[in-house]
Amino acid sequence: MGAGLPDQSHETIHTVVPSPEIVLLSQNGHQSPHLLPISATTGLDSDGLEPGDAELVRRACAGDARAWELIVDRHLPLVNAIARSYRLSVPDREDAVQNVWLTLNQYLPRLREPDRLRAWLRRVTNDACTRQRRHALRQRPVDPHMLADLAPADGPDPESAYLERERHEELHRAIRRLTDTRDRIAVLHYLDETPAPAWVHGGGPRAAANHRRRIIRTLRRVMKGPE
Amino acid sequence: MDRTDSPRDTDGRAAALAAFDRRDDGADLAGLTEHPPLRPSAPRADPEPVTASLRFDHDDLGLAVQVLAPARGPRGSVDRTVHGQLTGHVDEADLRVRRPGRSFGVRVGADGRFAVTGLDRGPLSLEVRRPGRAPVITDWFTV
Repeated sequence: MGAGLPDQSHETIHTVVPSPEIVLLSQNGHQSPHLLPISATTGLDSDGLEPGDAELVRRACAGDARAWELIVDRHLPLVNAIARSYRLSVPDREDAVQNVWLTLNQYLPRLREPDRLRAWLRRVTNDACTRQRRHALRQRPVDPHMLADLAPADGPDPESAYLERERHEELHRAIRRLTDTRDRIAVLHYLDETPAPAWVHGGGPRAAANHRRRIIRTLRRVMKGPE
Repeated sequence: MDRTDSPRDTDGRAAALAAFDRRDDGADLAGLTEHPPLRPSAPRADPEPVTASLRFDHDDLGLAVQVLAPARGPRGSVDRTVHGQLTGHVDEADLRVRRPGRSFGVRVGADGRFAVTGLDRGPLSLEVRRPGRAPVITDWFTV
């Protein structure tokens, strides 16, 4: 890509201005017959209850801007807190957060589990911030003499690093539960974490392979837990 | 509420509220299918590095996109460029660039290639309109 590309052509620009008012009606001006109004002041429904995420998503899909506002107010602190944890520059963080809300707007009618909106937002925010950090690292001017000290731009994101650590800890919990001390020593060697004791390979390669298979079966049973 | 949540945290609230727009609910989504990690390189060696290389797909339609941005100036305000390639049945396809709150058309070459220059930083999405088919919109990404 690059050479011989057509010039960009800016045609008519139209502005999307969602209604700034807090309204109880949908964007097309009609209240869905199945949706009771939400109070513009308290955010409670006609039964005096706080609507759940699934209900708010349903209302927002029907065009209820007040429901969208309640979604934003309920989850904005979470999205901002996750974004801040990435220590991005302010413009990068703002871009990532705006991306999250635009993405939610786009996926709103396609959410399979709207009652799990918070978990969905957590994942999307982490993804957006990871991409933004990678994007920003490609632009950051650096002293060439400092390049060797820079962390790679494509290192694991915090969530992947956390999951990797969890898997590692789960495996080591299972190893500690092995009843045979020799099995515990051998498995740590097989994980390349300790040097091989002489007896591990003393019985020949076939015996060592059988021993390894038996330990793996035992570990699988331990990690699977009781049926 | 998470422990890290602050109930008074309203940063970005206006932009979040402005994101509400139901007009594209009938469009098909071209999801991000490839986001290959870019190799770390010496940023100063390339005056306009590719900061993202993305691919979106929906049925027969493919959109390969590269985002280019010059090294950040003192105030962080630089013009971004998006290069792209449409593949599939894209004869008579119209391409529009979606930014928060507005959109504009972009000319696509006979070979499906397109370029958008002079972009401000921020989220961007692309929309492909083809006769007799539902419009296709991509996930949002940042330039």
